Amino acid sequence: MTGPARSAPGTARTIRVGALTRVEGEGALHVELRDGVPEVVELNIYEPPRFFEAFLRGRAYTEPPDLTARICGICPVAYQVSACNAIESLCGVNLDPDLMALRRLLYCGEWIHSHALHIYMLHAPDFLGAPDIITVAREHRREVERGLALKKAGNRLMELVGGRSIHPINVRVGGFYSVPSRADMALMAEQLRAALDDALATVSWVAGFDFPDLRVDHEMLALTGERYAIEDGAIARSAGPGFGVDRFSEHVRETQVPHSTALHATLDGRPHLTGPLARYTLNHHQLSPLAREAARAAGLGTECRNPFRSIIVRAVEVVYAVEEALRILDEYQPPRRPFVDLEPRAGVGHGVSEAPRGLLYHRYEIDSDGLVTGATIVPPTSQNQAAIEGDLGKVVLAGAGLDDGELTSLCERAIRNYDPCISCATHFLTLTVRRR
Amino acid sequence: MNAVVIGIGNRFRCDDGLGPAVAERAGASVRPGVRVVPEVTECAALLEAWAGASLAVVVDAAVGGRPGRVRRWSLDELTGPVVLSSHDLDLQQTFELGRALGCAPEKVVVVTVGAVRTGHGEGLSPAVAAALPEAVRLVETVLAEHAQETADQVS
Repeated sequence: MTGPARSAPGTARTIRVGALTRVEGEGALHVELRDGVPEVVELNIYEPPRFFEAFLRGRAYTEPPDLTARICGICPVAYQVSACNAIESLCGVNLDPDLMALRRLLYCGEWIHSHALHIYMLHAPDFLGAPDIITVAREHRREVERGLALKKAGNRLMELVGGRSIHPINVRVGGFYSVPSRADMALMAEQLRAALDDALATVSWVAGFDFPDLRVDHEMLALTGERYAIEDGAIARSAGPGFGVDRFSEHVRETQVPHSTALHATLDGRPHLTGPLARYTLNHHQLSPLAREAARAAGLGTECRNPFRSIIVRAVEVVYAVEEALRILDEYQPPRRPFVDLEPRAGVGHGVSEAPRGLLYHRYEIDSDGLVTGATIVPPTSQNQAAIEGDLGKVVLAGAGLDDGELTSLCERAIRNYDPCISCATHFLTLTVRRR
Repeated sequence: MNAVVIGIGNRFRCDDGLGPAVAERAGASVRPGVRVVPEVTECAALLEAWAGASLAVVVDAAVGGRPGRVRRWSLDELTGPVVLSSHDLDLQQTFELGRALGCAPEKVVVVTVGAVRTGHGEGLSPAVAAALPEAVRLVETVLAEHAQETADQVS
């Protein structure tokens, strides 16, 4: 895991992390320091490119939701929904409000499952001095049981609405293949009520962790809507007015960097942040009163710019997602039709949604035969890479006095703050630190 | 006896559907005190599936061995991780997590069958399909041994 021990001041120093743990996918980190100052900080994503954008060409306009869901086993709903939003927008179709509510419900299941997984299994060990969830479970059995119960609640919700929890099969352009019965939804609501207590207890638990000082000034990018944005919304940013979804590519540009198989994206040429911190900073006023109170009690203000505290924001979002799911379940009446029929239309469609890790953009070009002729997918981890490297520079500078093992550990924590999904982005870690 | 037969795998990934296929067949003639959970693909579901069991027989496809070869393992004999999902804990880690949470089975026996292909698609390869009866018999043998051990302890 680590390279040579700390070298004397004034000399070159190299630290290596061969493969990052507790992140989704495969990546490495390379850092070079001279006299304690970081000169090179590179997140090396070496997971092979997956060519989704290429093999989507020639497929029918109905296929992107099922195909792109395969990009990620943790956030497949995000891919399905952004794809549906893009194609439905191009075809000029608005979903019935009850179908939109069902889509939001499915997405709540994914937020609960994905956030619970990251909070308890991937991120909490960092704050408890433990290498993994197994070690945490030996000391914090009740808490880990609670996390697994929350994850399970999210999974069950996805199974009910999506047909299964990994790569749901019930989502189609225009809505769903079938819709749940009221009785099934009532049963689900009963199962989910206990999850609200678990979610609130999670916020209290993570609020008690010790958080390193770090403030990031990156611009924030998130969707905003009539409710705390999840399944759709308008693009908002922290420094200035937002822009239309159809202008996403003008503002968020992807470039290839030599050290990564994932594209780097910037917002108007500068690193930006998307994900829980951005959503909370831009939309916290739209959280439910209970989630807002939980956030306040956990010490969050009107914005959150310390990535180490992202674990609290995720926990608050779980509270919100459980409440939202319960609201939708309680109001549920079976939709009069499971989907809205739509005919293909030649042109370009843009779609966005808030994946657990942040804003996910899809763009499809479709011809008059209804076939995809071009596809662009910009996942949140690609957008956050430049910001992660920026944070790592700050962390390495502040931690230059640490020995290599401690510095490596701190770097890995700084990366896990973002819950990066490397599988999505290659569609990412090994740490090398060189001190001179 | 309180045993569970668990099929690991995804029936839409060709021979990866071997675990569910064997578990279902073993379940067709299941004895008292034996539960069958035919299709598990992630650690939380595995923890739930084997909670409280004295024996868990975990059936999975094996990549890299002779196609159709049926083998029996203890967890300690497995040299590499048994992957449930690329996003999740492996079999051995899930067992350790289960032990920490007090819900691991007392004993785990892993039955594997050498796979030919695990890409997208349905149906088992001929060599794997031909090995199904032998794999089911091995599961039944493991269950019978455990029933005898349990009876011996009682007497």
